[in-house]
Amino acid sequence: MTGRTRLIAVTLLVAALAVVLALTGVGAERLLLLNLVLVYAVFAVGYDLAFGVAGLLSLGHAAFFGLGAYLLANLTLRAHWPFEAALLAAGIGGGVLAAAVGGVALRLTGIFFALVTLAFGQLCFILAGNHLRAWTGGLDGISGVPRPVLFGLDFASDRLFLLYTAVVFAILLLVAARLRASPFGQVVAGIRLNPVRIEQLGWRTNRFRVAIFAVSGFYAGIAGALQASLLFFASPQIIEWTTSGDVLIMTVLGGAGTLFGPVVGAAAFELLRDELSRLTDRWYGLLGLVFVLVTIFAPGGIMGGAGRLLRRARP
Amino acid sequence: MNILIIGLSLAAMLFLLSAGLTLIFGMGGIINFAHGSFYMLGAYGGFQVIDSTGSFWLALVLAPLGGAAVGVLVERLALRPVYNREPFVQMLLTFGVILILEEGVRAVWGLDYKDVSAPAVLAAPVHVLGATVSAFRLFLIAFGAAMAALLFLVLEKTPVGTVVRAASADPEMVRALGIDVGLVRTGVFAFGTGLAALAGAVTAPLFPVELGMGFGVIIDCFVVVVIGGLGSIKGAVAASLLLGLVRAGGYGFAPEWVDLLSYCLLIAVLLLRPHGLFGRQRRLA
Amino acid sequence: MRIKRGIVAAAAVLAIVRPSLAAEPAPTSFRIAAIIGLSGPLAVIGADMRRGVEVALDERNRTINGVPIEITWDDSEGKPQVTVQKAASRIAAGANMVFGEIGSPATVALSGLTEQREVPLLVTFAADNALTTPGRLHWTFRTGKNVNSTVGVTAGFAERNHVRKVFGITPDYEAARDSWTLFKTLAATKGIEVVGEEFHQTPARDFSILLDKAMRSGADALYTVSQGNDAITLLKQANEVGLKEKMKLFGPGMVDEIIMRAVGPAGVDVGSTLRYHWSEDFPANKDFVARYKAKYGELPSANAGDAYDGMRWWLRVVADTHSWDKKDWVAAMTGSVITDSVEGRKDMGACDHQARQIALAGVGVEQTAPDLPKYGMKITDILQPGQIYRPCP
Repeated sequence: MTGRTRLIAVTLLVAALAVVLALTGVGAERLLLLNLVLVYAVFAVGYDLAFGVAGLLSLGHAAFFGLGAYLLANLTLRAHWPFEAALLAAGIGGGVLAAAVGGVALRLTGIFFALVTLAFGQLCFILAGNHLRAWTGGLDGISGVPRPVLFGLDFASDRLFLLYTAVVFAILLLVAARLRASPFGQVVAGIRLNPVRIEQLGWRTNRFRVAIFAVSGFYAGIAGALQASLLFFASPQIIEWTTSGDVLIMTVLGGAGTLFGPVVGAAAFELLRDELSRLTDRWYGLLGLVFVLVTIFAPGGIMGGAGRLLRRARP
Repeated sequence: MNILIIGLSLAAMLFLLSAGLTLIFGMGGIINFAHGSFYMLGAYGGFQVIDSTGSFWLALVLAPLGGAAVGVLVERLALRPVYNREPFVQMLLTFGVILILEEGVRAVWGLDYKDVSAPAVLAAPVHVLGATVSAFRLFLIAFGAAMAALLFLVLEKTPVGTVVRAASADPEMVRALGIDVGLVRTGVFAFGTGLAALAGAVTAPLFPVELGMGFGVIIDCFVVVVIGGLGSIKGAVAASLLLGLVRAGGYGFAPEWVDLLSYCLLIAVLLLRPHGLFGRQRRLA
Repeated sequence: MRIKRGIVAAAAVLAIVRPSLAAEPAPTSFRIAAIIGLSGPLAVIGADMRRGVEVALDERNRTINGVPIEITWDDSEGKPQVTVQKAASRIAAGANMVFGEIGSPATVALSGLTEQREVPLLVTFAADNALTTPGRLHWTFRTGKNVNSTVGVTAGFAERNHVRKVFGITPDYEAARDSWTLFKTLAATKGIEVVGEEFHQTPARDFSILLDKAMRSGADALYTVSQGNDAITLLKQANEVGLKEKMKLFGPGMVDEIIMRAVGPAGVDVGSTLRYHWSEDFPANKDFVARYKAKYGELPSANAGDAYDGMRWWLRVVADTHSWDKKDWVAAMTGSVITDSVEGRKDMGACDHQARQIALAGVGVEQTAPDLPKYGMKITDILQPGQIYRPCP
């Protein structure tokens, strides 16, 4: 098998697994959690396009995520758009906002870029919570965000909605895989490794950076919209910087720069949070401890660690 | 008159809060997101000292020592193993440290708010030129100014300061000169976290002492540190003054827009002068 | 005790003897999914609510109509997303009802889920009027006090304290602005002049400039809608400039036992509404306070008492239906009356699912009794439901 066909096979396998789980195996109380894992997996896969592939450390992705949520809520509830059109618009909105932020912020690199995106994210947080009340519902948020209805099928139940998120997830994962393997993806990765050389080869590096950042924003917008639909709710609280921190943690936890790392990271993060909080009131500290240990002792995240173990097992 | 005093007191608080953060950044390029947690630790530590001994002044001595001690642990156990990896890894670790510190404070002091009052000598307002102003705020202004002067003198005029500056500029060279750079790093990190704890202890009479108190201040710190120029104490002083006075003025005219304006200023400075309004190059002090 | 056990036994017998009446078979347990903030800024409130509810369960010997009550406590972190996520998980696992959350945004989000899933939701803390807009929510009940009632109390407080000119400080969000607007309307009818108003972001960083403005406005009272952390910051910074010596300080939910613990002397004489107070003179309250003290070694806070009262009422209504059909419980709770609550009689509004009840005004006080914390609250006035609530049409 070539790399590409293997990738497609694995993706389809993951999606198929989700579908099977949705229809049969999973206990009803785990369904919402699985939905959430897939939504955050979309977010993290998109985040890694900017972070892992292009090396752009953003602390403002929560803003694109939040914009997606509000776009979906407003377009479906007020403008009465069909769900899929609103979902697409949420993605595009996230992408456009990311392109605008990237266009301005990408004159900076490294930690300064991170700080600009952080400031920008917080700006959006305050705007959404305190100033754009007519559009965001202020601190109370917007409740009653709908679930999709497609081909006469109502996705109001978490079980059916898991099908929906699985399909969206599979499509976006495949797109991400294609993008990484494409000449465009190669150039972007090249820019991360050696921007000067790529510049000298005649590529306009900043355009590539802005483009990949916009794609990453598109993923965030879609994920935000799905999350709002999943929880029937959009609130400014998801725009706070901690959401950007969460997606960064997921990506690094799973393994930045790999296709499946962010997916594994999102799953590990959400499951850990859910399981630990059932076990003990002290779960917050435990989560922090686990995260610190993984970061120190497994540099490539869970995927990197697993890879090393496999290699050791096969001398 | 009142606006000036309030503005200066805000500046003093901002400076105390952000000085440690900018020092730590200047040393190893570490963005310490857990800075707010050390601030919280200082406030709780201060409460504990006051509760046991009744002395606010003793709290100002012991709380920073506690903060520095925890800082040593964090640096040795969590940050040291990753100094050779990408810079963002250290920042990520500080995310984890936030959760652990918060849990620790909760385990020791519980969920309740803690009451920290100003010492009796500073509790009553005083009258200056016909205006009623808070004696405690006057004290804060003096305290902030004294700390700024002290930091500046230590970093610029003493051999310790020279080593610290050299170690941040060129660690390899300093190591070659036979100085333990690791020790310097630990020292600076502990000093920075101690400063955060001091800020927590000294401002506790003005703010709620509770588990979430570190989250709000961290972004304020970033605003000061970036506008002043990352790693620059002089810049932090100037930025604190600018921001404190602008805020005091802003609260007077349009309080609900103050934070928004701070972030706009932050973004503008980052884009136009990424090394800060007051710094030319990235360097310490 | 014996009587209670007898009732339970009788109820159990009834349930067995007349199974044809119950549409649903008796479950193996009655499951309550409590979703409240047990970490984060609201944890201090959540912890007390949990204690209050536990006492209500103990009082029934943790059974209802012969079936054991099983309660799960999930930490919402005070976040809407986590609240909905955990509630959905518990509902899917067969929860019979949901109790929670604390903050208004998370509770509004939670009500969206419970309405969609058709599971009863019991609200004691969140005061947002959106939760009890007539005809909007079918499965949601609030036994605690709402925004409108608290504002009515503060207006009465201003009148009794001879406030003439008032300055307002309000957090810049919808519910708080509504509350301030309502106060201004009520103040106008009582001849109280509003001489200035300011809005601040929440969480607020510093109040000193706003307080300075208030002191120079010529007002004889400062009214604030700021809550929780904002209220603490405001009180500490008002104390710093001696504001209380010059102006009366009051607001809806401005201080309670938790905030008094946080601000100490800065909260003394500050006027506020109260959710509940351990000193309320009703037999059921005496009983509750004794049980609470025996279990936890301290007096119940407002949040503990409020949560206890709501849960006790709801469980009694459920038990009286002798049914395991959620629809029957909702029907019974709608328009139900409890005459022996810890605050006397409460009537559940049939149109809006808001409990009509007395309202309390109080002030922060320094307490000297040995078994009391140093700072606490004291009731100054009790308003009857008729003075606050409009009856359902």
